Amino acid sequence: MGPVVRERVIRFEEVPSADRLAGGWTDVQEPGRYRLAEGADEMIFSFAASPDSAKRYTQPPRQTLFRMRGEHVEEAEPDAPRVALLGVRAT
Amino acid sequence: MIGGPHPMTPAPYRVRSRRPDRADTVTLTLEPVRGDCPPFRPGQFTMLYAPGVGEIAVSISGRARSGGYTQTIRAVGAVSAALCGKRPGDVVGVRGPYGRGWDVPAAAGLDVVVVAGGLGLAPLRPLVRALLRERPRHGRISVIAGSRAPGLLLYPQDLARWARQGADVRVTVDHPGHTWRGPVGLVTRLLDRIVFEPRRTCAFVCGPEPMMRAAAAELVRRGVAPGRVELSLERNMKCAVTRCGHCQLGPLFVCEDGPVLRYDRAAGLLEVREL
Repeated sequence: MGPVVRERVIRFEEVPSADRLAGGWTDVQEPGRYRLAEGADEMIFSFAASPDSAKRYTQPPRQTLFRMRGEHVEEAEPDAPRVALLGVRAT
Repeated sequence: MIGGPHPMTPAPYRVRSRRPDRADTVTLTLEPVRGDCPPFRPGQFTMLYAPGVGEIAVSISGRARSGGYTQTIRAVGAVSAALCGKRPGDVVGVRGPYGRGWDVPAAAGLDVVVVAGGLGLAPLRPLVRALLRERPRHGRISVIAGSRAPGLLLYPQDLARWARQGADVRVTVDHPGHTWRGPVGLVTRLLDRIVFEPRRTCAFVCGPEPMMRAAAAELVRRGVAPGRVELSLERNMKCAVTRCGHCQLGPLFVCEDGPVLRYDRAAGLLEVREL
């Protein structure tokens, strides 16, 4: 997962290949304003916090805990795929 | 599973019996499919799971002769309606018991005043039973129950039995209809009619929050120590194990620090300041 330009926004989502990373792009942010802008160089991580968050992956909003059928209760195995997070920003 | 089941995983319980109490209220007797029911203290609650619908907190209203829990549920939403619709033989999920119950030992040697409004009688029922099982250890035991209408009164047979066992049982209703000859109005008005020595009294109160605030304030005004008045609070319990924060009330997690709280601790948290 990493920064990708989509719909004129640097989003934090799946990166199919390294050349899809947001190299050469930056963002201009002010209160109530967000604009994508070309960067001065080919820096990949030259942006502020995106609308997305790594929390979506570290603490998923939905998680299957168990399945109950009749009198049988089966605990769900944690769904924790191996994920690499690139360019995570602290907020 | 190593380390025991996950705290959010319910155990399967079978509905052994279903007793309609009112048009929208039923009492289910639930028995574990495997093993024994964990012990509970009066005032504690479980999380009941209606498969495929959801989970809610429900007070334990007693232990059945068979060893299972009895739990009284009023159909007010999707989950409670699904649970009310369960029939003998159906299976539901149960987690718990959870929470801090009534401080029954603290009532030893004291007069006891129990004040219930509506469904609030459910968590008080095992308390009254425990008090009456050890009747000589206590002073006067008074039970005041309020109901919207005579036909909506919960556990009328229990109330009659408690009166036979030596409790002073008083019932008041909001809407008397044509046949009711008893008291009408707020439960606090019945405090005039019962006998208790305020400085040697403890009180247990459960019902709608305005009723609890009024009853507790009136008991304290009459001289009962705030630390001897206990209230059972209803909050939006989700996880019941202090993880989600839905039931947080000031610095307290009602699922663990409550649902029963002493009035001296709860009073400030129940204040509704004018905006």
